Amino acid sequence: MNIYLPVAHTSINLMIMLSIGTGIGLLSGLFGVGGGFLITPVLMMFGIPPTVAAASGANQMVAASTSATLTHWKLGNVDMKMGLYLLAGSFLGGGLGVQVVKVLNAMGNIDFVIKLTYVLLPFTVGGIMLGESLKKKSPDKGHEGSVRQSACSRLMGSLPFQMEFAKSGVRHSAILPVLIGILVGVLAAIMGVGGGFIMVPIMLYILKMPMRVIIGTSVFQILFTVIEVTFLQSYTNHTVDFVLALVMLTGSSVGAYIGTMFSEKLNTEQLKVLLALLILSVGVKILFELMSRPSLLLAYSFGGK
Amino acid sequence: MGNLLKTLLTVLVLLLSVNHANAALTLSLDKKMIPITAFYKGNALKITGTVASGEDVIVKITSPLENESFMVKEKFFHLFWMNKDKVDVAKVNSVYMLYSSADIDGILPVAERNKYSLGYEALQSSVGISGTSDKDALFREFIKVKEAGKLYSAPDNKVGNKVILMPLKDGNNSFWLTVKMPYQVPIGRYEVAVYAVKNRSVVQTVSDDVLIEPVGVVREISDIAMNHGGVYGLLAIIIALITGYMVTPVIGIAKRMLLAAIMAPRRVINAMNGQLYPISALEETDQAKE
Repeated sequence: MNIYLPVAHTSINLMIMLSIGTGIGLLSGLFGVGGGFLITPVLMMFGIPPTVAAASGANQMVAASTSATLTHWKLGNVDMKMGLYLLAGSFLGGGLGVQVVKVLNAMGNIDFVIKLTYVLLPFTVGGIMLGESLKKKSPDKGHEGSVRQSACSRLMGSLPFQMEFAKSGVRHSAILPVLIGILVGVLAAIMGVGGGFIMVPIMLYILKMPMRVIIGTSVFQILFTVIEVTFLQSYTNHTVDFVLALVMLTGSSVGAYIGTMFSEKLNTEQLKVLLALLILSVGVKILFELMSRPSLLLAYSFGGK
Repeated sequence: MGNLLKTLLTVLVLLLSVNHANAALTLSLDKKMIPITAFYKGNALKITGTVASGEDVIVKITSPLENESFMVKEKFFHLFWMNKDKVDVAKVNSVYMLYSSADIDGILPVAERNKYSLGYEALQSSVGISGTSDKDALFREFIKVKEAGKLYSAPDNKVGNKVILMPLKDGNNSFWLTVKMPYQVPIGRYEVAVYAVKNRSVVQTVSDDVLIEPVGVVREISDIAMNHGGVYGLLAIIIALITGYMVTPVIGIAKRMLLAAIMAPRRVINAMNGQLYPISALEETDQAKE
Protein backbone atom coordinates (compact mmCIF):
# COMPACT_ATOMS: atom_id res chain seq x y z
CA MET A 1 0.00 0.00 0.00
CA ASN A 2 1.32 3.42 -0.93
CA ILE A 3 0.80 6.69 0.91
CA TYR A 4 1.42 10.22 -0.34
CA LEU A 5 3.74 12.53 1.60
CA PRO A 6 2.28 16.05 1.67
CA VAL A 7 5.57 17.93 2.20
CA ALA A 8 8.00 15.66 0.32
CA HIS A 9 5.42 15.46 -2.52
CA THR A 10 6.19 11.85 -3.23
CA SER A 11 4.50 8.48 -2.77
CA ILE A 12 6.05 5.72 -0.64
CA ASN A 13 5.35 2.08 0.15
CA LEU A 14 3.98 1.94 3.69
CA MET A 15 5.36 -1.50 4.61
CA ILE A 16 8.88 -0.72 3.38
CA MET A 17 8.98 2.53 5.36
CA LEU A 18 7.64 0.81 8.50
CA SER A 19 10.36 -1.84 8.19
CA ILE A 20 13.07 0.80 7.76
CA GLY A 21 11.72 2.66 10.80
CA THR A 22 11.77 -0.53 12.88
CA GLY A 23 15.32 -1.35 11.79
CA ILE A 24 16.61 2.11 12.65
CA GLY A 25 14.72 2.13 15.97
CA LEU A 26 16.34 -1.22 16.79
CA LEU A 27 19.79 0.30 16.29
CA SER A 28 18.78 3.33 18.34
CA GLY A 29 17.79 1.22 21.34
CA LEU A 30 20.68 -1.21 20.93
CA PHE A 31 23.56 1.23 20.59
CA GLY A 32 22.20 4.51 21.96
CA VAL A 33 22.59 6.22 18.59
CA GLY A 34 19.66 8.25 17.25
CA GLY A 35 19.97 6.71 13.81
CA GLY A 36 20.27 10.10 12.07
CA PHE A 37 23.42 9.11 10.23
CA LEU A 38 21.54 6.10 8.81
CA ILE A 39 18.08 7.53 8.26
CA THR A 40 18.99 10.40 5.94
CA PRO A 41 20.91 8.28 3.37
CA VAL A 42 18.25 5.52 3.51
CA LEU A 43 15.34 7.93 2.90
CA MET A 44 17.26 9.56 0.06
CA MET A 45 17.67 6.11 -1.50
CA PHE A 46 13.86 5.92 -1.62
CA GLY A 47 13.51 9.22 -3.48
CA ILE A 48 12.87 11.56 -0.55
CA PRO A 49 14.53 14.98 -1.13
CA PRO A 50 17.65 15.32 1.09
CA THR A 51 16.36 18.34 3.03
CA VAL A 52 13.03 16.62 3.79
CA ALA A 53 14.83 13.36 4.65
CA ALA A 54 17.09 15.06 7.21
CA ALA A 55 14.32 17.14 8.80
CA SER A 56 11.73 14.33 8.95
CA GLY A 57 14.42 11.98 10.22
CA ALA A 58 14.96 14.33 13.15
CA ASN A 59 11.20 14.34 13.82
CA GLN A 60 10.99 10.55 13.92
CA MET A 61 14.05 10.43 16.17
CA VAL A 62 12.09 12.46 18.75
CA ALA A 63 9.77 9.46 19.24
CA ALA A 64 12.55 6.85 19.09
CA SER A 65 14.69 8.80 21.57
CA THR A 66 11.71 9.40 23.91
CA SER A 67 10.96 5.69 24.01
CA ALA A 68 14.63 4.76 24.47
CA THR A 69 15.24 7.50 27.09
CA LEU A 70 12.23 6.38 29.16
CA THR A 71 13.29 2.74 29.03
CA HIS A 72 16.90 3.58 29.98
CA TRP A 73 15.63 5.95 32.67
CA LYS A 74 13.61 3.15 34.27
CA LEU A 75 16.65 0.87 34.08
CA GLY A 76 18.68 3.59 35.84
CA ASN A 77 20.99 4.11 32.86
CA VAL A 78 20.74 7.92 32.47
CA ASP A 79 23.39 10.10 34.11
CA MET A 80 21.30 13.27 34.35
CA LYS A 81 24.15 15.47 35.62
CA MET A 82 26.50 14.46 32.81
CA GLY A 83 23.66 14.66 30.29
CA LEU A 84 22.82 18.26 31.21
CA TYR A 85 26.46 19.40 30.93
CA LEU A 86 26.76 17.69 27.54
CA LEU A 87 23.45 19.19 26.44
CA ALA A 88 24.55 22.71 27.39
CA GLY A 89 27.65 22.23 25.28
CA SER A 90 25.84 20.71 22.33
CA PHE A 91 23.31 23.58 22.24
CA LEU A 92 26.21 26.06 22.11
CA GLY A 93 28.01 23.92 19.55
CA GLY A 94 24.86 23.62 17.45
CA GLY A 95 24.63 27.43 17.19
CA LEU A 96 28.32 27.62 16.29
CA GLY A 97 27.92 24.80 13.77
CA VAL A 98 25.10 26.61 11.98
CA GLN A 99 27.47 29.57 11.47
CA VAL A 100 30.18 27.21 10.13
CA VAL A 101 27.63 25.79 7.68
CA LYS A 102 26.72 29.33 6.58
CA VAL A 103 30.37 30.19 5.85
CA LEU A 104 30.96 26.91 3.98
CA ASN A 105 27.75 27.41 2.03
CA ALA A 106 28.88 30.87 0.96
CA MET A 107 32.16 29.34 -0.21
CA GLY A 108 30.20 26.74 -2.24
CA ASN A 109 31.88 23.74 -0.62
CA ILE A 110 29.25 22.56 1.84
CA ASP A 111 28.30 19.42 -0.13
CA PHE A 112 31.85 18.16 -0.29
CA VAL A 113 32.61 18.96 3.36
CA ILE A 114 29.48 17.16 4.59
CA LYS A 115 30.26 14.05 2.58
CA LEU A 116 33.92 14.08 3.55
CA THR A 117 32.91 14.40 7.21
CA TYR A 118 30.63 11.41 6.71
CA VAL A 119 33.65 9.44 5.48
CA LEU A 120 36.42 10.65 7.80
CA LEU A 121 34.52 10.63 11.07
CA PRO A 122 32.98 7.15 10.84
CA PHE A 123 36.39 5.76 9.84
CA THR A 124 38.16 7.47 12.75
CA VAL A 125 35.52 6.75 15.38
CA GLY A 126 34.66 3.24 14.15
CA GLY A 127 38.32 2.36 13.64
CA ILE A 128 39.33 3.45 17.15
CA MET A 129 36.39 1.57 18.70
CA LEU A 130 37.10 -1.60 16.79
CA GLY A 131 40.82 -1.36 17.54
CA GLU A 132 40.20 -0.87 21.28
CA SER A 133 37.73 -3.75 21.42
CA LEU A 134 40.07 -6.12 19.63
CA LYS A 135 43.07 -4.96 21.72
CA LYS A 136 41.21 -5.81 24.94
CA LYS A 137 40.87 -9.38 23.78
CA SER A 138 44.66 -9.81 23.74
CA PRO A 139 46.06 -10.51 27.26
CA ASP A 140 49.07 -8.09 27.12
CA LYS A 141 47.96 -4.45 26.78
CA GLY A 142 51.54 -3.14 26.64
CA HIS A 143 53.39 -0.56 28.67
CA GLU A 144 53.29 2.30 26.11
CA GLY A 145 49.48 2.41 26.10
CA SER A 146 49.21 2.79 29.83
CA VAL A 147 51.77 5.64 29.86
CA ARG A 148 49.81 7.50 27.12
CA GLN A 149 46.58 6.88 29.00
CA SER A 150 47.96 8.26 32.24
CA ALA A 151 49.22 11.42 30.47
CA CYS A 152 45.75 12.02 29.06
CA SER A 153 44.18 11.36 32.47
CA ARG A 154 46.65 13.80 34.12
CA LEU A 155 45.67 16.52 31.63
CA MET A 156 41.96 16.00 32.29
CA GLY A 157 42.59 15.87 36.01
CA SER A 158 44.40 19.23 35.96
CA LEU A 159 41.32 21.08 34.61
CA PRO A 160 39.36 23.21 37.14
CA PHE A 161 35.77 22.58 38.37
CA GLN A 162 36.37 18.91 39.13
CA MET A 163 33.21 17.14 40.26
CA GLU A 164 31.78 13.70 40.90
CA PHE A 165 29.41 12.11 38.43
CA ALA A 166 27.99 9.52 40.80
CA LYS A 167 25.81 7.63 38.31
CA SER A 168 28.74 7.06 35.96
CA GLY A 169 31.19 6.54 38.82
CA VAL A 170 33.71 9.00 37.34
CA ARG A 171 35.28 12.30 38.40
CA HIS A 172 35.85 15.00 35.76
CA SER A 173 36.04 18.74 35.31
CA ALA A 174 32.64 20.26 34.32
CA ILE A 175 34.50 21.93 31.44
CA LEU A 176 35.18 18.57 29.82
CA PRO A 177 31.59 17.49 29.02
CA VAL A 178 30.72 21.06 27.95
CA LEU A 179 33.69 21.13 25.54
CA ILE A 180 32.75 17.68 24.22
CA GLY A 181 29.15 18.86 23.85
CA ILE A 182 30.32 21.86 21.79
CA LEU A 183 32.41 19.63 19.50
CA VAL A 184 29.50 17.23 19.05
CA GLY A 185 27.09 20.13 18.47
CA VAL A 186 29.30 21.60 15.72
CA LEU A 187 29.66 18.23 13.98
CA ALA A 188 25.95 17.48 14.43
CA ALA A 189 25.01 20.77 12.74
CA ILE A 190 27.34 20.07 9.80
CA MET A 191 26.22 16.47 9.41
CA GLY A 192 22.55 17.04 10.23
CA VAL A 193 22.34 14.29 12.86
CA GLY A 194 21.67 14.00 16.60
CA GLY A 195 25.31 13.21 17.30
CA GLY A 196 24.93 9.86 19.07
CA PHE A 197 27.53 8.03 17.06
CA ILE A 198 30.09 10.70 17.92
CA MET A 199 29.00 11.05 21.53
CA VAL A 200 29.07 7.34 22.42
CA PRO A 201 32.78 6.71 21.63
CA ILE A 202 33.79 10.01 23.29
CA MET A 203 31.96 9.10 26.50
CA LEU A 204 33.47 5.64 26.35
CA TYR A 205 37.11 6.47 25.65
CA ILE A 206 37.55 9.99 27.01
CA LEU A 207 35.04 10.25 29.85
CA LYS A 208 35.55 6.54 30.75
CA MET A 209 31.86 6.07 31.50
CA PRO A 210 30.37 2.56 31.72
CA MET A 211 28.70 1.42 28.47
CA ARG A 212 25.12 1.12 29.78
CA VAL A 213 25.15 4.62 31.30
CA ILE A 214 26.66 5.93 28.05
CA ILE A 215 23.75 4.60 26.00
CA GLY A 216 21.10 6.01 28.35
CA THR A 217 22.82 9.40 28.63
CA SER A 218 23.40 9.54 24.87
CA VAL A 219 19.72 9.00 23.97
CA PHE A 220 18.77 11.59 26.62
CA GLN A 221 21.04 14.17 24.95
CA ILE A 222 19.86 13.17 21.46
CA LEU A 223 16.20 13.65 22.45
CA PHE A 224 16.71 17.35 23.16
CA THR A 225 18.93 17.91 20.13
CA VAL A 226 16.35 16.44 17.71
CA ILE A 227 13.50 18.40 19.34
CA GLU A 228 15.47 21.60 18.62
CA VAL A 229 16.25 20.51 15.04
CA THR A 230 12.62 19.50 14.30
CA PHE A 231 11.27 22.86 15.43
CA LEU A 232 13.90 24.92 13.59
CA GLN A 233 13.46 22.92 10.36
CA SER A 234 9.65 23.26 10.51
CA TYR A 235 9.77 26.95 11.29
CA THR A 236 12.48 28.09 8.90
CA ASN A 237 12.66 25.58 6.04
CA HIS A 238 9.21 23.88 6.06
CA THR A 239 10.92 20.57 5.36
CA VAL A 240 9.49 18.33 8.10
CA ASP A 241 7.12 15.81 6.52
CA PHE A 242 4.97 14.80 9.43
CA VAL A 243 3.33 11.86 7.60
CA LEU A 244 6.74 10.40 6.75
CA ALA A 245 7.90 10.97 10.32
CA LEU A 246 4.72 9.33 11.70
CA VAL A 247 5.25 6.20 9.59
CA MET A 248 8.92 6.03 10.54
CA LEU A 249 8.33 6.74 14.22
CA THR A 250 5.66 4.04 14.48
CA GLY A 251 8.22 1.50 13.32
CA SER A 252 11.15 3.06 15.15
CA SER A 253 9.39 3.27 18.52
CA VAL A 254 8.75 -0.47 18.48
CA GLY A 255 12.28 -1.10 17.18
CA ALA A 256 13.84 1.08 19.89
CA TYR A 257 11.94 -0.78 22.61
CA ILE A 258 13.10 -4.15 21.32
CA GLY A 259 16.65 -2.82 20.83
CA THR A 260 16.85 -1.58 24.41
CA MET A 261 15.71 -4.98 25.70
CA PHE A 262 18.39 -6.70 23.61
CA SER A 263 21.08 -4.25 24.78
CA GLU A 264 20.51 -5.60 28.31
CA LYS A 265 21.21 -9.15 27.13
CA LEU A 266 24.26 -8.50 24.92
CA ASN A 267 27.61 -8.00 26.61
CA THR A 268 29.42 -4.66 26.40
CA GLU A 269 32.24 -5.85 24.15
CA GLN A 270 29.78 -7.31 21.64
CA LEU A 271 27.89 -4.00 21.59
CA LYS A 272 31.10 -2.03 20.97
CA VAL A 273 32.24 -4.27 18.12
CA LEU A 274 28.80 -4.17 16.49
CA LEU A 275 28.58 -0.38 16.77
CA ALA A 276 32.10 0.02 15.37
CA LEU A 277 31.22 -2.20 12.39
CA LEU A 278 28.00 -0.26 11.80
CA ILE A 279 29.81 3.10 11.86
CA LEU A 280 32.53 1.78 9.55
CA SER A 281 29.99 0.39 7.07
CA VAL A 282 28.31 3.81 6.77
CA GLY A 283 31.71 5.35 6.06
CA VAL A 284 32.54 2.70 3.45
CA LYS A 285 29.18 3.22 1.71
CA ILE A 286 29.61 7.01 1.47
CA LEU A 287 33.25 6.67 0.37
CA PHE A 288 32.14 4.27 -2.38
CA GLU A 289 29.43 6.73 -3.46
CA LEU A 290 31.92 9.61 -3.55
CA MET A 291 34.40 7.69 -5.68
CA SER A 292 32.08 5.94 -8.15
CA ARG A 293 30.85 7.70 -11.25
CA PRO A 294 27.23 8.73 -10.59
CA SER A 295 24.57 7.55 -13.04
CA LEU A 296 23.32 11.14 -13.35
CA LEU A 297 25.86 13.93 -13.77
CA LEU A 298 23.34 16.68 -13.04
CA ALA A 299 21.59 17.44 -9.77
CA TYR A 300 18.80 19.94 -9.16
CA SER A 301 20.16 23.14 -7.70
CA PHE A 302 18.37 24.91 -4.83
CA GLY A 303 15.43 26.77 -6.29
CA GLY A 304 15.80 24.86 -9.51
CA LYS A 305 12.85 22.54 -9.08
CA MET B 1 -22.68 41.60 -58.86
CA GLY B 2 -21.50 38.33 -60.38
CA ASN B 3 -18.01 38.81 -58.84
CA LEU B 4 -19.52 39.58 -55.45
CA LEU B 5 -21.65 36.44 -55.60
CA LYS B 6 -18.58 34.40 -56.62
CA THR B 7 -16.57 35.84 -53.69
CA LEU B 8 -19.38 35.11 -51.21
CA LEU B 9 -19.66 31.55 -52.49
CA THR B 10 -15.88 31.07 -52.18
CA VAL B 11 -15.91 32.37 -48.59
CA LEU B 12 -18.85 30.09 -47.77
CA VAL B 13 -17.07 27.07 -49.24
CA LEU B 14 -13.87 27.93 -47.31
CA LEU B 15 -15.79 28.40 -44.06
CA LEU B 16 -17.57 25.09 -44.55
CA SER B 17 -14.31 23.32 -45.31
CA VAL B 18 -12.62 24.85 -42.23
CA ASN B 19 -15.60 23.89 -40.07
CA HIS B 20 -15.43 20.39 -41.45
CA ALA B 21 -11.71 20.21 -40.70
CA ASN B 22 -12.21 21.57 -37.16
CA ALA B 23 -14.98 19.11 -36.55
CA ALA B 24 -12.69 16.23 -37.55
CA LEU B 25 -10.18 16.69 -34.70
CA THR B 26 -11.74 16.51 -31.28
CA LEU B 27 -10.27 15.91 -27.85
CA SER B 28 -11.79 14.60 -24.67
CA LEU B 29 -10.13 13.93 -21.27
CA ASP B 30 -11.75 11.55 -18.80
CA LYS B 31 -10.94 13.96 -15.98
CA LYS B 32 -10.20 17.64 -15.67
CA MET B 33 -8.59 17.24 -12.27
CA ILE B 34 -6.38 14.53 -10.77
CA PRO B 35 -6.78 14.70 -6.97
CA ILE B 36 -3.80 13.90 -4.75
CA THR B 37 -5.30 11.93 -1.89
CA ALA B 38 -3.64 10.26 1.12
CA PHE B 39 -3.07 7.04 -0.86
CA TYR B 40 -2.11 8.67 -4.19
CA LYS B 41 0.45 6.80 -6.28
CA GLY B 42 -0.14 8.43 -9.62
CA ASN B 43 -3.21 8.23 -11.80
CA ALA B 44 -4.22 7.27 -15.32
CA LEU B 45 -5.43 9.94 -17.73
CA LYS B 46 -7.56 8.69 -20.63
CA ILE B 47 -7.26 10.85 -23.72
CA THR B 48 -9.76 10.19 -26.51
CA GLY B 49 -11.07 11.98 -29.61
CA THR B 50 -11.65 11.82 -33.34
CA VAL B 51 -9.40 12.63 -36.28
CA ALA B 52 -9.97 12.64 -40.06
CA SER B 53 -9.20 9.42 -41.84
CA GLY B 54 -5.64 9.23 -43.17
CA GLU B 55 -4.26 11.56 -40.51
CA ASP B 56 -1.85 10.61 -37.75
CA VAL B 57 -2.14 11.85 -34.18
CA ILE B 58 0.52 13.22 -31.82
CA VAL B 59 -0.31 13.90 -28.17
CA LYS B 60 1.91 16.17 -26.06
CA ILE B 61 1.51 16.78 -22.32
CA THR B 62 3.51 19.69 -20.94
CA SER B 63 3.84 21.96 -17.94
CA PRO B 64 4.27 25.73 -18.51
CA LEU B 65 7.73 26.95 -19.57
CA GLU B 66 10.07 27.86 -16.74
CA ASN B 67 13.77 28.22 -15.86
CA GLU B 68 15.61 25.46 -14.00
CA SER B 69 19.08 25.32 -12.42
CA PHE B 70 21.35 22.33 -11.99
CA MET B 71 24.74 21.49 -10.51
CA VAL B 72 27.17 19.57 -12.70
CA LYS B 73 29.01 16.70 -10.99
CA GLU B 74 32.73 16.48 -11.75
CA LYS B 75 35.66 14.51 -10.40
CA PHE B 76 37.69 16.38 -7.80
CA PHE B 77 41.43 15.60 -7.44
CA HIS B 78 40.79 12.53 -9.68
CA LEU B 79 39.22 10.93 -6.62
CA PHE B 80 35.81 12.22 -5.52
CA TRP B 81 32.71 13.18 -7.52
CA MET B 82 31.13 16.40 -6.33
CA ASN B 83 28.78 19.15 -7.47
CA LYS B 84 30.91 21.81 -9.12
CA ASP B 85 29.49 24.29 -11.63
CA LYS B 86 25.96 25.64 -11.79
CA VAL B 87 24.15 25.62 -15.13
CA ASP B 88 20.83 27.18 -16.09
CA VAL B 89 18.29 25.75 -18.51
CA ALA B 90 15.85 28.47 -19.56
CA LYS B 91 12.42 28.26 -21.20
CA VAL B 92 11.96 24.57 -20.56
CA ASN B 93 9.01 22.40 -19.59
CA SER B 94 9.40 20.78 -16.19
CA VAL B 95 7.19 17.96 -17.49
CA TYR B 96 7.17 16.79 -21.12
CA MET B 97 5.45 13.65 -22.41
CA LEU B 98 5.03 12.78 -26.07
CA TYR B 99 2.99 10.03 -27.73
CA SER B 100 1.97 9.40 -31.33
CA SER B 101 0.22 6.98 -33.63
CA ALA B 102 3.40 6.64 -35.79
CA ASP B 103 7.12 7.35 -35.67
CA ILE B 104 7.28 11.15 -35.42
CA ASP B 105 10.57 11.35 -37.38
CA GLY B 106 8.87 9.50 -40.21
CA ILE B 107 5.71 11.61 -40.41
CA LEU B 108 7.08 15.11 -39.77
CA PRO B 109 10.16 16.97 -41.13
CA VAL B 110 12.57 18.75 -38.77
CA ALA B 111 11.13 22.22 -39.45
CA GLU B 112 7.63 21.13 -38.53
CA ARG B 113 8.84 19.28 -35.41
CA ASN B 114 10.75 22.38 -34.28
CA LYS B 115 7.75 24.61 -34.93
CA TYR B 116 5.57 22.65 -32.51
CA SER B 117 8.36 21.46 -30.12
CA LEU B 118 7.75 17.81 -30.91
CA GLY B 119 10.60 15.59 -29.69
CA TYR B 120 13.82 16.12 -27.77
CA GLU B 121 15.70 17.56 -30.77
CA ALA B 122 13.03 20.20 -31.22
CA LEU B 123 13.09 20.91 -27.51
CA GLN B 124 16.86 21.38 -27.57
CA SER B 125 16.56 24.01 -30.28
CA SER B 126 14.14 26.07 -28.17
CA VAL B 127 15.72 25.94 -24.69
CA GLY B 128 18.45 28.31 -23.53
CA ILE B 129 21.43 26.67 -21.83
CA SER B 130 23.98 28.82 -20.02
CA GLY B 131 26.95 28.05 -17.78
CA THR B 132 28.63 25.45 -19.99
CA SER B 133 30.36 25.26 -23.35
CA ASP B 134 29.25 21.72 -24.22
CA LYS B 135 25.53 22.36 -24.56
CA ASP B 136 24.81 19.07 -26.39
CA ALA B 137 26.29 16.97 -23.59
CA LEU B 138 24.48 19.02 -20.98
CA PHE B 139 21.15 18.63 -22.77
CA ARG B 140 21.67 14.85 -22.90
CA GLU B 141 22.29 14.80 -19.14
CA PHE B 142 19.27 17.05 -18.62
CA ILE B 143 17.07 14.52 -20.46
CA LYS B 144 18.57 11.68 -18.40
CA VAL B 145 17.73 13.49 -15.14
CA LYS B 146 14.19 14.19 -16.35
CA GLU B 147 13.60 10.64 -17.56
CA ALA B 148 15.00 9.20 -14.31
CA GLY B 149 12.49 11.38 -12.46
CA LYS B 150 9.70 10.13 -14.79
CA LEU B 151 8.98 13.70 -15.85
CA TYR B 152 9.98 13.29 -19.51
CA SER B 153 9.09 10.57 -21.97
CA ALA B 154 9.72 10.65 -25.68
CA PRO B 155 12.59 8.24 -26.33
CA ASP B 156 14.32 9.11 -29.60
CA ASN B 157 10.99 10.30 -31.03
CA LYS B 158 10.17 6.65 -31.74
CA VAL B 159 7.00 6.48 -29.77
CA GLY B 160 4.76 5.10 -32.50
CA ASN B 161 1.78 2.89 -31.76
CA LYS B 162 1.15 4.42 -28.40
CA VAL B 163 -1.88 6.31 -29.71
CA ILE B 164 -4.46 3.81 -31.01
CA LEU B 165 -6.48 4.70 -34.12
CA MET B 166 -9.78 2.97 -34.98
CA PRO B 167 -12.05 3.68 -37.98
CA LEU B 168 -15.51 5.13 -37.37
CA LYS B 169 -18.63 4.70 -39.50
CA ASP B 170 -18.59 8.39 -40.59
CA GLY B 171 -15.22 7.93 -42.29
CA ASN B 172 -13.19 9.54 -39.48
CA ASN B 173 -10.97 7.72 -37.02
CA SER B 174 -11.27 7.63 -33.28
CA PHE B 175 -8.07 7.77 -31.24
CA TRP B 176 -7.33 6.93 -27.62
CA LEU B 177 -4.43 6.85 -25.29
CA THR B 178 -4.06 6.07 -21.59
CA VAL B 179 -1.24 8.01 -19.98
CA LYS B 180 0.03 6.94 -16.58
CA MET B 181 0.67 10.20 -14.76
CA PRO B 182 3.30 9.12 -12.19
CA TYR B 183 3.26 10.50 -8.65
CA GLN B 184 6.51 12.28 -9.47
CA VAL B 185 4.61 14.73 -11.71
CA PRO B 186 4.33 17.79 -9.47
CA ILE B 187 1.21 19.71 -8.49
CA GLY B 188 0.13 22.07 -11.28
CA ARG B 189 -1.82 22.60 -14.49
CA TYR B 190 -0.76 20.67 -17.58
CA GLU B 191 -1.65 21.23 -21.20
CA VAL B 192 -2.73 18.25 -23.28
CA ALA B 193 -2.22 19.19 -26.94
CA VAL B 194 -3.26 16.97 -29.86
CA TYR B 195 -1.80 17.43 -33.35
CA ALA B 196 -3.37 15.98 -36.51
CA VAL B 197 -0.63 15.18 -39.05
CA LYS B 198 -1.09 14.67 -42.78
CA ASN B 199 1.30 14.85 -45.74
CA ARG B 200 4.29 15.62 -43.45
CA SER B 201 2.70 18.66 -41.82
CA VAL B 202 0.52 19.48 -38.85
CA VAL B 203 -2.92 20.25 -40.27
CA GLN B 204 -4.82 20.90 -37.07
CA THR B 205 -4.33 21.18 -33.33
CA VAL B 206 -6.60 21.11 -30.34
CA SER B 207 -5.79 21.32 -26.63
CA ASP B 208 -7.22 21.07 -23.14
CA ASP B 209 -5.96 21.31 -19.55
CA VAL B 210 -5.68 18.89 -16.67
CA LEU B 211 -4.99 19.96 -13.10
CA ILE B 212 -3.10 17.93 -10.49
CA GLU B 213 -3.74 19.18 -6.96
CA PRO B 214 -3.85 17.90 -3.38
CA VAL B 215 -7.22 17.46 -1.67
CA GLY B 216 -8.48 16.65 1.81
CA VAL B 217 -5.99 15.80 4.54
CA VAL B 218 -2.99 16.03 2.16
CA ARG B 219 -3.93 19.63 1.34
CA GLU B 220 -4.55 20.49 5.02
CA ILE B 221 -1.16 19.17 6.18
CA SER B 222 0.65 20.79 3.27
CA ASP B 223 -1.00 24.16 3.98
CA ILE B 224 -0.18 24.10 7.72
CA ALA B 225 3.44 23.07 7.02
CA MET B 226 3.94 25.89 4.53
CA ASN B 227 1.94 28.68 6.20
CA HIS B 228 2.21 27.93 9.94
CA GLY B 229 5.66 26.36 10.32
CA GLY B 230 5.97 27.04 14.07
CA VAL B 231 2.61 25.47 14.96
CA TYR B 232 3.31 22.57 12.61
CA GLY B 233 6.72 22.00 14.23
CA LEU B 234 5.28 22.02 17.76
CA LEU B 235 2.52 19.60 16.74
CA ALA B 236 5.06 17.28 15.10
CA ILE B 237 7.19 17.30 18.30
CA ILE B 238 4.23 16.76 20.68
CA ILE B 239 2.84 13.85 18.66
CA ALA B 240 6.31 12.27 18.41
CA LEU B 241 6.79 12.67 22.20
CA ILE B 242 3.38 11.11 22.92
CA THR B 243 4.09 8.22 20.51
CA GLY B 244 7.47 7.62 22.14
CA TYR B 245 5.90 7.80 25.61
CA MET B 246 3.02 5.46 24.73
CA VAL B 247 5.02 2.79 22.96
CA THR B 248 6.29 1.01 26.10
CA PRO B 249 2.86 0.53 27.75
CA VAL B 250 1.28 -0.32 24.37
CA ILE B 251 3.89 -3.03 23.77
CA GLY B 252 3.33 -4.28 27.32
CA ILE B 253 -0.42 -4.61 26.65
CA ALA B 254 0.31 -6.33 23.33
CA LYS B 255 2.59 -8.82 25.12
CA ARG B 256 -0.12 -9.63 27.70
CA MET B 257 -2.72 -10.06 24.94
CA LEU B 258 -0.38 -12.38 23.07
CA LEU B 259 0.19 -14.42 26.21
CA ALA B 260 -3.57 -14.66 26.83
CA ALA B 261 -4.10 -15.76 23.20
CA ILE B 262 -1.45 -18.50 23.61
CA MET B 263 -2.99 -19.66 26.88
CA ALA B 264 -6.62 -19.71 25.71
CA PRO B 265 -6.47 -23.05 23.78
CA ARG B 266 -4.80 -24.74 26.76
CA ARG B 267 -7.60 -23.57 29.06
CA VAL B 268 -10.19 -24.93 26.66
CA ILE B 269 -8.41 -28.30 26.46
CA ASN B 270 -8.03 -28.46 30.23
CA ALA B 271 -11.67 -27.53 30.74
CA MET B 272 -12.72 -30.26 28.31
CA ASN B 273 -10.60 -32.77 30.26
CA GLY B 274 -12.26 -31.65 33.46
CA GLN B 275 -8.94 -30.37 34.80
CA LEU B 276 -9.59 -26.66 34.83
CA TYR B 277 -6.76 -24.97 36.62
CA PRO B 278 -6.87 -21.41 37.85
CA ILE B 279 -5.17 -18.97 35.46
CA SER B 280 -2.55 -18.03 38.07
CA ALA B 281 -1.49 -21.67 38.30
CA LEU B 282 -1.00 -21.85 34.51
CA GLU B 283 1.01 -18.63 34.52
CA GLU B 284 3.17 -19.94 37.35
CA THR B 285 3.76 -23.14 35.37
CA ASP B 286 4.78 -21.10 32.28
CA GLN B 287 7.11 -18.92 34.32
CA ALA B 288 8.68 -21.99 35.87
CA LYS B 289 9.24 -23.45 32.37
CA GLU B 290 10.88 -20.22 31.19
